[in-house]
Amino acid sequence: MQPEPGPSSPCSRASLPNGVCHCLGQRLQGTMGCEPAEGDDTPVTELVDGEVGAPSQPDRPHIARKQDSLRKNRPAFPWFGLDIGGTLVKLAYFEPKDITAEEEEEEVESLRSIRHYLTSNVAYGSTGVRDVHLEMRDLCLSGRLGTLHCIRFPTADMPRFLAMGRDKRFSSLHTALCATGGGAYKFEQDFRQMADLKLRKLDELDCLIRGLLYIESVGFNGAAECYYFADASDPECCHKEPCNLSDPYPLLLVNIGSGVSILAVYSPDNYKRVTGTSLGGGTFLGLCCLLTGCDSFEEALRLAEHGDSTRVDKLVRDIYGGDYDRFGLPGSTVASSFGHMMCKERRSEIRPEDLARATLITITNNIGSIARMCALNERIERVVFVGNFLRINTLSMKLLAYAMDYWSKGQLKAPLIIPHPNPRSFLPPIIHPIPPPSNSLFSFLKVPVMSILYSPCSPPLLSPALLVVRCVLALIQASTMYTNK
Amino acid sequence: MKQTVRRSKMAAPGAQVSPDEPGDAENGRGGSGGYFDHSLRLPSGEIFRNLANAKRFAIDIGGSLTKLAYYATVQHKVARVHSSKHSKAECLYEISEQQEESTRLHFVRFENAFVEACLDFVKGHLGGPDAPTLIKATGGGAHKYKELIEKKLGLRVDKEDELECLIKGCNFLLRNIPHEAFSYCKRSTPRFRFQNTHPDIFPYLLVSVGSGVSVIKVESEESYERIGGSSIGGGTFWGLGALLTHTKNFDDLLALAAAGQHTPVDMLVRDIYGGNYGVGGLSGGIIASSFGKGATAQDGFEAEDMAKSLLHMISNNVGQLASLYAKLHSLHTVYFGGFFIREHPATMHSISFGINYWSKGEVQALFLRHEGYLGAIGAFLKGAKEDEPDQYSWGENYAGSSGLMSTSPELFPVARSRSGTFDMLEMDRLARLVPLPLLRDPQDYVPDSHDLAQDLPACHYWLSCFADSLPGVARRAVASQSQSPDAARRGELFRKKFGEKLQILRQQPCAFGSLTVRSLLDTREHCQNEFHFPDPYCKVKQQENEAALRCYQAVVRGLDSLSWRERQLGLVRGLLAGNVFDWGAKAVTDVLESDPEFGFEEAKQQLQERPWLVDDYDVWLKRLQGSPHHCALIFVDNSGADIVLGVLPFVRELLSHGTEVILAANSGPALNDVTSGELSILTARVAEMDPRICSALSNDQLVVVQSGSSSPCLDLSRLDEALVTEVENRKVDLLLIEGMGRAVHTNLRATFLCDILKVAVLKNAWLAQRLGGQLYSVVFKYEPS
Repeated sequence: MQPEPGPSSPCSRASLPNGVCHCLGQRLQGTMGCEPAEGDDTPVTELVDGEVGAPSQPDRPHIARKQDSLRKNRPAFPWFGLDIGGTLVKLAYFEPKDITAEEEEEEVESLRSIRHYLTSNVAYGSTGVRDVHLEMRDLCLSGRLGTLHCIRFPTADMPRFLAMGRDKRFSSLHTALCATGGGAYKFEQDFRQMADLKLRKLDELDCLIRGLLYIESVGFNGAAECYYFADASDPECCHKEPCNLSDPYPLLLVNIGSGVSILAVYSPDNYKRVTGTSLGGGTFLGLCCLLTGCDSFEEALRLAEHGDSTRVDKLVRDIYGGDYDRFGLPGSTVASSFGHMMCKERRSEIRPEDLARATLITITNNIGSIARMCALNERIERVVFVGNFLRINTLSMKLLAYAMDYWSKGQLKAPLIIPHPNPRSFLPPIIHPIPPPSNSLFSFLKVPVMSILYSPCSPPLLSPALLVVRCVLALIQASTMYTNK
Repeated sequence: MKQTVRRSKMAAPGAQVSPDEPGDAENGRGGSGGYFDHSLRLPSGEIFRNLANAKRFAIDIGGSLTKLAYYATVQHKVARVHSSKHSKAECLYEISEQQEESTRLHFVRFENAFVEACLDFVKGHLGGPDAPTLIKATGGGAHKYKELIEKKLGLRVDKEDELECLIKGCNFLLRNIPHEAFSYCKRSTPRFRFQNTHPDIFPYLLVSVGSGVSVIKVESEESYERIGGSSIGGGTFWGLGALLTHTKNFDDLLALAAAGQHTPVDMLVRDIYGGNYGVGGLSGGIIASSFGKGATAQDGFEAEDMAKSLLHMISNNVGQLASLYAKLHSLHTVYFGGFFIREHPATMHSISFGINYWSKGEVQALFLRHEGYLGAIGAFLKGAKEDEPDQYSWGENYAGSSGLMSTSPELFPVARSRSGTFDMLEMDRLARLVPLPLLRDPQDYVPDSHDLAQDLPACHYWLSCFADSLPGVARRAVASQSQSPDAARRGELFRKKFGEKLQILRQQPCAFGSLTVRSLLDTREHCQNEFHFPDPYCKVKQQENEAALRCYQAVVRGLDSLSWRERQLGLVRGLLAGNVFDWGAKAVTDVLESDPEFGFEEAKQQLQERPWLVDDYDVWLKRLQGSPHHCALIFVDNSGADIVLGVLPFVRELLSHGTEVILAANSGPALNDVTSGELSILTARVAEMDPRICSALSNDQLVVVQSGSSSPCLDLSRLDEALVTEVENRKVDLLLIEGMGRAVHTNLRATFLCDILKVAVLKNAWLAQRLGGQLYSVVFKYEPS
């Protein structure tokens, strides 16, 4: 774990373990606004030093010299960031829009080919997808203006990606790629052998936190990034409200990928992995595929939208005929997920849609329950959900929002915060605040989940673009690296 | 229903399935071994015993298992001694066997498929004036089966809240059954580690994993609350499992899981990282995403593997939730119950792993040997308030209980194919038992010196030892009732029953909690009582007592003639020599049977010379030279020479110093140990010969109290309340524990707040060797407070 930086000089330390200052995004943004003010002492270059392990040189003349040198020696294009997860590979690509004619002339053929290939397509092969709605335009990065593209493909297609890198002679442009996620370790050797590329590995939890803060700081194409569902417990009134992450700490960060990691974040450099669960997005997709025969996340979600989980789950009223008054459980509470499926007759008449819906609710409820317990145990009032599981998954987002609201009933000063169901929203949900327990009737079992999930106020589905948080950070890293052709 | 019953594996233990012999069926009313169902035959006397005297009923019907509880009086024979009317007669006292009534709690667990058949059986055997009019019911099925129960039994069904029953049942078991709770560790030997019985059981967290999960915080008998839960529980395992594997039976799903591998189905950390995730501290084998490979599986998975993955997913999740709740409420004791666990090793392992992993070892998962009965016990207790069950202590009857995992096909393949899934628990009502206030560390007191399950050679030795001596023990039991026409038959039944128990313990040493010499001895006593051999040694004891009484005055005279210093050693040697007379020890039994004249003086010759194996005699002597003790508590051992020629002269010496003496003897018979009834007569007879004893008895300087135990061993955490009151009132400052069973097999390492003397002769060569000595080595252990 990284030590907390001193309060007086949050950015003055040079050798951060992964070379990324916690306020990297803001600083880059501010400094690289093409013309940094003279005498700006933002120690941007130290980050670079930090990355390459040079000793800290915080004195001003040195910095000025470094900045000058940065302009001349900025990393060569193309700038990529890779996040290789268990299920998906997320690729962030920065397309410079300010290329001069001179540069264009100098641009080698392979670079031009890559740029053209990536920006002129929205699909790559049968499985690669560019999420156009996620692209960040007019982004200033390391002094260059451009567009950030987000591309994803299944991790299973990694060999094809590597073959493409080899064919496009990527190694003639770069000797190293910035990568995070478990695959950065798993595929390191393949990158070297198949594509003649080294991987500069970044820790995924570091990237997650810093990427999140970066995106929050630069904004999303001029729009506010962070929203929450207000009145989440009332389907009629449920609506989105913007929220501000300027003072986010401490926060509980729940990253729902294939599995789930839960981090308590006290500052960008001071966080701990509190717990995790193996019941995550991979479980939802895996179980849906096995139960319904579907074969994609999108399809599984489409099924879930049209399902009825009460045909699958056993509710309290199925057992007690109504509410379980003795312990204050409403009859609509899910008592046993998939409980009806113990019965052969019910199994025989169940629809794939119902099964997908029940799976989604089961997994989401469980994550919410664990997140809530962690928030209470860690005494953190703000919970942020991120991760690919929530991509185009309004159902789960609302469910999480509702659950958090329900548990904290009567104890919340501020309402629940989760991401805006708007294509432009970039950031994950935030729950705020969850007070420490004062009575013990919290239970996910008590959430009458059905009412909210049938709510008619559900806006169009969208992607909160949560997927790119980590690869963006990797890309930023790439843009500040001195790499050679 | 018939179809279900016909499947061979559904048969009951001792019950036979006879699907093709419907003509065999007859009305089960009244007759022994009657048939009541065309396809299921329950020999009465093995399952649903004592129904004729059943007083109160309770039933807990879960998703797949039904638990029936009832309270019955049991007629059994006890040996009673009476002071002989003619004091000059040859007989010291008269022995008579009497019918006595005791109270027993019966619990029977069976599959729901048998509900109807079992209710018929119960109805057929009900009777007696105390027959109940009401049955307490709990569990999810109570609603569903209400009409059936009312119709079949003619009893009014009174429903009780499920969780309340669980908690009541849990409290009852934790308080009354030693070694009820255990932790499970797959990689240790034994896998089961039983917990000490703590006098204070609160607070704890009870995690009930039924169809869903309920987490209950229990702070006292009256104060508890449901602090949370989860919908991912046994129903999820069953439902999802059935969907994924097309296996509809819960036990079959568990069997599938036991045969599967989860790695083809789950995405592990190493599947993502290629190895460990070093920075995050996650090893490669950790599951990153349950069913995470489900989306990319080309040809699906093996059913076994999916079942295993599912089991892992659910148990881990339960463990995680439990550890989070435990942390939130600062609780360290977490008990798991509910049908999902059902003593299944993989489930217990997975939950234990989960809770240990997530709590970083701070919270330990504990399971209950009788978790399946919690609800039934609780419901029963709710209906039995006027019998005041809480005013008594209760003891597990090993003869009538099936033991842990009796229905596990893994552990008992033979038993399973032969029998099936009837499991039983019986508990006897005892006097109220409380811990000895002199224990230095009551929280950590473990009576037994040795957990045999942790020591395989010891385990083999003792199981063989008990098996080898069984024919002789059975013979002696039969001989003690030579006038009874069916003694031989009962003796054979006893031999068979205890033989089966030993067989079970060979396969599953932890079946009845920690396996100890004490538990083996107790099991044997219970089995003997079961077949109405309440006191096989009564006549032997009588003869030995008479013989010893005839020597008493000579022995006392001999001692009185010695100098003070010589007398002290003589008294101790007498104590030790008397202790050689022990029918419980095989080596001595052989000698006693072949040479009945083996006398007290000869016994002294057998003793090890000083220095003894454990020899604190000099310290003891020095203590005797100081101020006399105020009050001594002596737990006595054998009849005959031991008590009369060894202990009583020793007591006499203490009395002469002004020390008060409490003699604590067994409440009921065990081997040739003297019972409190016998001891009262013996002291009275000695008093006739010895004015010192006489005056001590009359002025209350010497009292005989029953210990509350009927075992050759001694559990100082469960003593008769009256004895403990005496101990407190008289301010005991010297404790003497005598004999191998009480001072070596148990209490050898126990520490006390007063002076303690542990005296025993090792009459077992194997044990003596274990302790570094040989046959007849002497343990004389004195520890000042």
